Formats: sequence, C-alpha cells, structure tokens
Amino acid sequence: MNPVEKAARDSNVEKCVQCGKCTAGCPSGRQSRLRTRTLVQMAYQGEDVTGLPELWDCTTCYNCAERCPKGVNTVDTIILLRNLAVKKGNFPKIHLNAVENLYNTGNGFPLSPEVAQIRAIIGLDKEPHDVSTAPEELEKVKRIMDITGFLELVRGDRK
Amino acid sequence: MIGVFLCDCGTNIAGNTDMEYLKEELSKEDDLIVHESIFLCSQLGQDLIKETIEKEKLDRVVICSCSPKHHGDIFKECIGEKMNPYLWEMANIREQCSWATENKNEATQKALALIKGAIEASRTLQEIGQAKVPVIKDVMVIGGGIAGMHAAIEIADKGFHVYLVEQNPNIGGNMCKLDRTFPTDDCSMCTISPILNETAMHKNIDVLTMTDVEDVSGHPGEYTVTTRSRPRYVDFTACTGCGDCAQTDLVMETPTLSEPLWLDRIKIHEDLCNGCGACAKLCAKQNDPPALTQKEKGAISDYDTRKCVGCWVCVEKCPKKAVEIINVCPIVVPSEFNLGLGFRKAIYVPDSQAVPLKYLRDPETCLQLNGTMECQGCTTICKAKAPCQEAEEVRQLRVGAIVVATGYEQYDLSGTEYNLEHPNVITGLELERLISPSGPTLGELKRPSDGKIPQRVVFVQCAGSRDRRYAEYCSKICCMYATKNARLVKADHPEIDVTICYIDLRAAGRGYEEYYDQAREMGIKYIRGNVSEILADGDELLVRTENTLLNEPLLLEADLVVLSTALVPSRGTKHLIETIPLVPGKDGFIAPVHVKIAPVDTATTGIFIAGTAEAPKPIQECITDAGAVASRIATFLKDDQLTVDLVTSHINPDICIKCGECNEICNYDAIDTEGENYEVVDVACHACGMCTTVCPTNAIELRYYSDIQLEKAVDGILEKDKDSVIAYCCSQCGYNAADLAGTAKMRYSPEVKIVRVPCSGRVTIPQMLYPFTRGAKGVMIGACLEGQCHYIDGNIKEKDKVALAKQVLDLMGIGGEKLELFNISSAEGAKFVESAERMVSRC
Repeated sequence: MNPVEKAARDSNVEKCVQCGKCTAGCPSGRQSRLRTRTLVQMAYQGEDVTGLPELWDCTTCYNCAERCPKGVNTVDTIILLRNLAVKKGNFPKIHLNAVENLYNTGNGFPLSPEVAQIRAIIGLDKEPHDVSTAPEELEKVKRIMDITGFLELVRGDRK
Repeated sequence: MIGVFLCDCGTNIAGNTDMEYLKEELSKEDDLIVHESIFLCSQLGQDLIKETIEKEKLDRVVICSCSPKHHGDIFKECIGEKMNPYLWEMANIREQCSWATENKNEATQKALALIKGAIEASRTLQEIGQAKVPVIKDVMVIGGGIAGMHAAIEIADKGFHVYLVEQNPNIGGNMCKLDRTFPTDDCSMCTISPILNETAMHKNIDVLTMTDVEDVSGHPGEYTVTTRSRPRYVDFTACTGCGDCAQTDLVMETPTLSEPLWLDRIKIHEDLCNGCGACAKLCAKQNDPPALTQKEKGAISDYDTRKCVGCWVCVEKCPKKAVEIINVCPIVVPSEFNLGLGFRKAIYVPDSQAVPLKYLRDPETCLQLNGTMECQGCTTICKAKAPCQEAEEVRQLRVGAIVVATGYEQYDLSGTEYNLEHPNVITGLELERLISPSGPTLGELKRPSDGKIPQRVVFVQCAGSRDRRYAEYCSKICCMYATKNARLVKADHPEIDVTICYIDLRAAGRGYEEYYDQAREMGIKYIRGNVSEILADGDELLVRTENTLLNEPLLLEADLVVLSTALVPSRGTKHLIETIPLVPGKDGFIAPVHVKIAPVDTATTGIFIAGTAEAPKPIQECITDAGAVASRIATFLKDDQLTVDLVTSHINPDICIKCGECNEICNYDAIDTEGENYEVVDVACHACGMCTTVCPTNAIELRYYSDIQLEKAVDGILEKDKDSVIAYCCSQCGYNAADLAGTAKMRYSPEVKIVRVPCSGRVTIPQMLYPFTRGAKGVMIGACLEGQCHYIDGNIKEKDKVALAKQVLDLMGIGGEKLELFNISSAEGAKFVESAERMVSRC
C-alpha cells in the first residue's frame, strides 16, 4: 500500500457525522473560506477537491483533529489532498513564491527591511545565523531540493 | 453409536462450508451416523435428532451448528427428552468457523477438525444428575432510584419480601432532582412522591438507606449479601423530621457558596437588650472560653460564634428575651443533593421532601462529631432527643435473587473544551435544581456567578456523548431533556433567548416529535452544529459552533451554558460489576445476557438489572424494566426448590489424601472437610474447576469439562489438522468474544481452534503443554479481564501457571512465546481477533 492509499484508508472520512465541531473550532476558517466539515463531506462523496483553493488555508493547527468526536484525521487528510493537488499542478502561486524564496535564499520568508530594523533596535545581529547566511549550507539545501525534484513538482514542470 | 447432526443454518454455515464433503469424511467412520438439516433448531430438525436417538439407539450426540451460547439450551432440552442431557457435545461451526473464515475450503477443513474434536470429547462424557436446591423467597433490590423502587414495589406486591438497599440518606435517586419530565411536563416530585411513600410504607419492603453492598456470595436461589450501613448519628425512630435542628436565617444571593460558612447561632436584638450583661456572665460560668463577653456595663455583649457551643443558656436566661436562636447548627456547606449548588447544614436532610424524612449528621463537618468542640446545639434543641452516637451496622442478608438498579451519573467533563470550571457553565442536572421549586433558588433561574437572570441561554448537546474521547454511545435522553428544559425556561421567561446546539435531534418516542415541534413554535432556536469550545469573558461566555446548515462558523454569546453531559455508569454500578461480578459492555454499563430477548437478565442466574445501570434510558423505560424484572423474579422464585445440574466437582475418596489444597483454592467454600471423607458441597460449587488444577492425586475432578474430555477434544482437532493453535477460551469471556467476532464477520486465521473451558483458571499446566505433544503449533488462553473473572481470580491464578509453562516450553526447545494468555472481555470481538492473529504470526 503506497503512502497515499494508506493515508486515504486512515482518513476515517466515512465516520464523519457532519457535526461541525471542526469548522466551529477552526482559527483559519474564521478568516478564510476554509470549511473543514464541507471538505470532509465532499471527500466522502467522492468529489475531487484537489482544485479547491481553500485546501491551502489550513494552518495544520490540529484543533479539529484533536476534538473530532469520531476520529476523522482531518489534517492528515488535508495534507494528503494537498499532495494530490500538487501532483495535478494545482499549487497556488502565492505559495510558489515562498518555495522559490526557500530555494534561492534558504528561507521561505526572507528578512524584510522592517524586521532587520527591529533586530537592530533590540540588539540582535543584523542577520540571523541560518542557512541564508551560510552559502555553503545553502548549496546543500539546494542539492536536496534538486535531487527530489521539488521545484519542478510544485511548479508543475515535472512530467 | 454417535449421531452427528450437521446444520446448514440456511446459508449461514452451508454458504461457506462444503457440507457434502463433511458428510463424506465423517461417514468413513464406522460408529458415526451423520445427518444434515437445513435448520437443526427448527421443529423438523429437533424431531430428526429425537427420532434418530430412538431409532439408532444413539449413546452420544454431536450437534454441529451455531454457538452453544446461542441454541445450546434448545438442543439440551430436545436431547434431554430422549437421553441424559449431558451426553452430547456441540461443535461451533458458525460463529467460530463459517462466519470467521474467509476461504470456504479453509472453513470446511476447520469445521471438520472442530467436529472431530467434539466427537472425541463426546465419547468421554458421563451421565450427570440433578440436585434440588432450596430457594429463599426474599429479594434484594440494590439502588433506590425510580427503577429500583418500582421493581421493589412490584416484587413486594407479588408477596415476596424485599430489601431495598440505597447508598444515599434518601430514596428516589436522580428523578427526585428533576424539575419536570418530558414529554408531559409533569412535576417530577409530584410523580415520584407517591412511589417514594409507597416504597417506604410497604409491609413487604425493608428500606436500608446509607447502605453499601460489600460482598455477594452464594449461588442462585441462595445468595448472601453483606451490607454496611453508615450511621446517621440521629436516631432514626426518634427523629420526627421537624427541622428545628437545621433552621437558619441564611439567604444566599447567588446559587453557590464560595466557601463553607460558620454562621452566628444567636442574634441579640438591640431594641430589647438593656445591657445587663447576664448573658455574658452565664456564658462565662458555663463555657471556657466564653462566646459572649461584655466590654463595659450597659453595652451589648460581643458574640464570637466560633466559641459558642450552643448551650443556649443566654437564650433561656435573658430577662428581656433579647437573644434569639437563628442557627442551631452554625455550619454551612454546599448541598450534595443540589449538586454543589445551594447549601445544607452539618445536620440535614438532603431535600425537604426527602423520604425517609429523617435527619442525619455529617461526621466530617459536624462540630461535635469531628471533635472541634463539645457542641450541644442540636442535641439540646431536639425535643425528641434524636441526635446520638451510632456505629456502622454490618448485616448479612440472605436472598434468593438480586436486582441491580444502581443507575447512572453524569460524565465529569472537567478539564475539557467545555469549560465546566466556569461557574456559568452547568450540567443539565444542575439546571434541573436551579429551576426546581424545591431547589436552592426556589425555582428562580439565577446563574451561579452573580445570581442574575440570564438573558441568553445556550444548551450544548452531545457534551461527551457520541465522542470517541469520552463516551462513544448516544446518551439517548439528552435531546428530549434539553428540549424540555429549554421549554421550561422559555415558558417562565419568554424574553430569554434560548438556543440548542445539536448534531442530530433524536426525538423517537410517544409524543416526542410533537413535543419538539411545540418547542420550535415557542421560539427556541435550534442550531445544527456541535460545539467546539466554550470561552469565558468574565461572567459572560462565548460558544464556538458552526451553523452547519448555512456553512457558517458562529460565536454565540451566552449568559448561561447548559451542557447535556453524557450519562455514564454510576460508581455504584461499577462497584457491583466488580463485586458480584457482572459482565460489563464496552460502554461500561452492565450487559444483559441478550440485548433483545433477555434484556433484564444478567449472565449470572438469579441476578437481574433494571433502569440506567444497563444503559441510558428515559424514566418510562426504567419503569418497563422494573416490571419485567419483577415478572422474571416471580418466575425464578415461584417454586420452593431450584433444580440444578450437577456439573460440579466431585472427590474420589479412594485416592484423596485430604491435603486440603482444593479447599484452599476454592473461592466458594464448597469443600466439606468436616466428615470422614472430603466432599464437594454441590449447591455451593460453581464448577469453575480450579480445584482440579491443584489436586496432587487427581482425586477431584469436574463431572463436565473433565481432564479427559478436554484432552480428547484436543486430540480430535489435531488428528484432522496439525496446523492448529489450540485456544482454551473461558465460557464467560474469551468464548463469547470469539462468538462476537464471528457474528460481526471479523475474519481470523482458521488455524485458531477453540476448546471451551468453564474458567481460564481450570486449565492446568499439563493441559497447556499437551497440544504441543500432539503436534499443535501453539496454545492460547482467552481469559476475562483482570478483576472481572466470573470465578473471582481464576485468570489471575492462570497467569502464574502460564508463566511457569512458558519456562517449560523454553526448556523443551519449543519456545515460551508459543503459549500466551490474553485478557479479553466478552464485548471485545476485535481484541479476540487481534490476539488470535498475534498468536498465529508467532507460531
């Protein structure tokens, strides 16, 4: 059984009674279109949800999965669906920027001038010590991403 | 000749078993006569068995069909018409074979092995006689709630004497706490009050309050129950229930006490006092230190209640009658009856309408009983001189049958997303007290934090129910009682916004849907959405839910939140499950022996269940249960004697060396060591067989489940199929779990073949090792959960034996891992399958 099949089997979506506890406690759903309960219902009915943009609004905080009375693995299932979405070329552009930043600088959210200023005020080094400031380490990260074909995957270039 | 009868059970067996092949194989043996029937349990099938016994002069019968737990009694009765009803064996080829095996060919081979085992075992059987056991016509009902009371009355009305045992100071249980009841909105107390009084006054009922059951021993028809009654420290007969001792001037602003109080016992009326100081002088004369002191002549005396012992000399001697008693007992604590709301004194009755209306003193808080001071408050004020010193009373009561009606309690949701810690988050039962006219607010809906009338009330359904983390089952009554409480709140205060958050509204019952319709008409708002969390903003509450029908997350503001908490077995119910013991279901409630056709019988003969000790249910179903129980008991106790089959142990006096080992291990005092020879007391023997495992000379033996019977069963199985793991399963749990797995069509390896034993503790070390000498791949033992052995501790004793046998297997080079004991309750089909698969994988 491949990981996708296993995750689908363990998702427990068939146990969902549509109580709404997931959506009720969803911090992201209060600000976004994400309706976890509806996603689970669509998945249960066999609808293809991999094209839905709200799939990417989940912060994976696990509030819903922890409180789900029926043990539906909402978050793991959303992560699985994202994987499937990416394979179909449905990776939102906004996230692509973050991924490309990660590749180019070693940081998904590179240091902004505002943050640099705050660092200076509170007496921190201008730049944090991480991959972004260590070119030889950055090369290793790039190499991992090259080997796995990560960029092609998320860009939808992989055939 | 042995008659072998194969049942198709329609397609239940024949659909997954090659019956022709079985017939062909079995017919190869000379002394077998093989018949097949489409339904052996039918009249036609039974006639076939009886005719064949007669015609072929059979001396043994083997029935190959369903589980003996299912139709065993039918076949026993049928065969018993023609021969001794113990000269037959049953091969369970349905639950433990055709239903549990994926592949038809494998199922057929397994069936053949099981049948062969039964045939070989049947050859060893002996005729078993019967004995008459006297029946005690008294009955014990444990639990004085609505189910217990109604059962007690029904049984007592049939002429049996009943002991009604209740742990609380008053009878009536949870129903006494309810304001009104659905679907009629009757006042609960008005409904139950005549039943309370009838129970207390009935000439055939002895009510034992404040009493716990400590032990149950004996056997059906002759049980001995040990009870322990806690003292009231108030003479039961003398107390008139007048309430002089508990009078108070305390008026609470909010429904809850923030802490226990020590009130003033007396009040000096300034307008009457002339400052003579007589009170202080008398007080100082009688008490050291005095509670009353006068600073200067002419001043009103100062009073320190913490020094006052309640001698009342000041009240009696004040020339101006200026000193008034306002609290005979100064101690105030939260009321248990009101679930922590309201208050009671250290001397109290749980409720003003309590039956029996007899006061009691709480030894924890009573100043006299806990040794704080030589308090005389109630003892001097009581005209009947009822407050007294008392000791616990232990009784041994002999009864023929027992009814367990120990009820439910609410799931404790402390520490969860429901924020039960907040004073304004309450349970449904607490709301009942808040709106009950006899409750702490005299029926005025005031929220606990500040006593304000809430303007927004939210009911939260399924709080703990239908939830894998708390109680997986539906608590059945919550939809209706929340609807009822919402209606009562709305009827009293139409201006209050009442909202019910629900998952599914379950209104199945006479008049229920109509009741729900009316609730909607009254303006109660139903939101279809489970509650994710309850947040606090000071005294106010925020309820996170979703309107699932609008796909909209909601944050509801509320002044009061009422949780419809899950119903769980009460502590009393759990205590009896362990003490008697009884078989619990997966939900923890007491399991009936058959959920449909024997709903009030337990697995232990002579012990019955009624009410919510069995499952959450509304009052009307408790009453139905109670009536059914009374009928079952009348049937059970109708004769002066019960007939019991002597499937017990017996001792061969020729080889008994009177070492006493059997007496030592017997949990039922069933070995008579007084006479010339040691003898088994048949009526006391539970036929667990533990004695047979310790006898050094094999002098003691079970009449049924004998050593040779088990050995031959193993031989028969292994003769047909060496690829076998022999599973000795106790007939109380392991065997039932396997049946349950089969009924649910859970598949497991056909290598696992079950040999039934009465108790896991009956399996000896030689019996564990024997299958290996005959080529078996492994041996497993299916025992009850620890603490739930039907014979008290057979599974615990078996654990030690298994450990020893594993060492032997290691020494023999076979490997100790090929033998294992599994603790499986009868409700755990999946655990049986898991254990079986684990065993097969390592053998």
